[in-house]
Amino acid sequence: MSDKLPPTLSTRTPWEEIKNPIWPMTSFILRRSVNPYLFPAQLDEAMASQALSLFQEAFTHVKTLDSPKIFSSNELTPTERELIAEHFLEPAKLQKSGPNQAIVLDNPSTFLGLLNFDDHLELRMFTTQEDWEVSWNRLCQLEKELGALLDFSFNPRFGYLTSSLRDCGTGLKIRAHLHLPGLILKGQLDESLEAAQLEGNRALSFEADPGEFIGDLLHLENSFSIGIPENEILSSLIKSASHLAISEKKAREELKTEESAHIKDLVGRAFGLLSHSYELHAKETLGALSLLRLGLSLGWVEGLKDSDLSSLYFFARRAHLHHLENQTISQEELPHKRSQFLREKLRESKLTF
Amino acid sequence: MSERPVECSGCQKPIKYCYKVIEGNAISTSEMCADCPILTSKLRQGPQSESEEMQSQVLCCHKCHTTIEAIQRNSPLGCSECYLVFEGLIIEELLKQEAIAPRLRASIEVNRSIPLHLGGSPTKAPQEITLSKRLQELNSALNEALNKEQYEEAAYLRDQIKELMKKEHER
Repeated sequence: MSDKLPPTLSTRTPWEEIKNPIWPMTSFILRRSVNPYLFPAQLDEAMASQALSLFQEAFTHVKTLDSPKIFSSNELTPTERELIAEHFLEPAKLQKSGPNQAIVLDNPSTFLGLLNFDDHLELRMFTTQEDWEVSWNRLCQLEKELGALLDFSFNPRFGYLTSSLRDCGTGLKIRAHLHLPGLILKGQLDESLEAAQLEGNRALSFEADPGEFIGDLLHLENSFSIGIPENEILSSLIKSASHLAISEKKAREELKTEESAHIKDLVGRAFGLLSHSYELHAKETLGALSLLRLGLSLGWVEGLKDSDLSSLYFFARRAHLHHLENQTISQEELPHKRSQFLREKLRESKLTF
Repeated sequence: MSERPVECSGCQKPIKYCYKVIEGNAISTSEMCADCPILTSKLRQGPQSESEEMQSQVLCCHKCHTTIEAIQRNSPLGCSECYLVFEGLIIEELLKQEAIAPRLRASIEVNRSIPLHLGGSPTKAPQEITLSKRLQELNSALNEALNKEQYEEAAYLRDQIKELMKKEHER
């Protein structure tokens, strides 16, 4: 369906090769504005077009990225934009893109550049490996290369200037994506968040809904971009995320020892839902996948690898399903297609209890 | 039945808003047009003083025309110049939104002129993390965990150190 996007985006998911199933991904986001342009929302058509050409030209000269491809917003279909948003775990923004905006992707599809969205440049890089500093260093390199070509808006008082006040200063957002079903099931999440000393960081759910952690996924991100240097933002977030990951590991070990009938029942029901339903909606699917992943880590599911299950977090989502089916699926048909896909994927797996 | 405010008795513009005030058991309702200055002053919780009115009419960014009101409404800024034009107001907003890192907040409350930004700049890029720096941090965290008798955390950190050393050795 989409042969213009990098193959790694359309055929693979970010979580196929995760190093730590509890902490599958860390994302880094840097925001920059460029002189002499007004911020994107204020640019008229001509200036927006001029600015965009300048930014696109800059990206053709960077060496840090592997075969970057630049797509103007109107080159991509809504489904392609949604596919990118799902891949990078970034919700609504991409789907609302307008003229004189562009998206940059690299070949491994671990980098996403947004040009002329809320700010002139939004540089996003993620890693699924534990050596997150490699990704951070790459982003620093990229920022340095672009900074040599473009005049970033900077003020000694407020740092890097952005359209949103909350993003000025370092312009840096870091997100640690954590899978915490053990802590949630044991009712220990609040206690663990407190013990992780989150000051300076905040916990968000998958779709930034504070009320519910969909798929038991929690995003830990820094609250402050100004008044703190980059290395402290990094070390504070990594410390809090590590603490939560350790707590989750401990919770899972306890669950394994306890052999709780209730938890086994939840895992069994999740397995049943995914392997025998006729229709599956996104939210219930992610919840069930989370329980199945937990079951797998506790040795209660066989016939599957964690990488297969982790990938289903992406493949079960709408744009990925459209892409796999190589056709547009109607809203009415989507739950059934999702269930068909998952039944096929779980065909060889079974519960061990 | 709700009516326009007395001051607006001559207004011919179509009604856009209904403004309801509930005080105890008494409810009063007014209808206003989209441009109603009475509505604006009610939303500001009181009439503007003449100087406030003049200030908000005069002070906007010369480059992008962003106004004080827009900033107070938490709308996005229009350009980098806004940070110079509205410096004081932006600091107030950052404090109000608790967007400044805590360690600086107390100092800023006392002295508004201290530097806010402590990170990198175009001439001094954000620091890359070298292997030795990462190891140093991990070792420091490991010692802290051992001192606090947090043995699970210590084990996790020790595994990370081993992994890093292994990668370096392979390289």
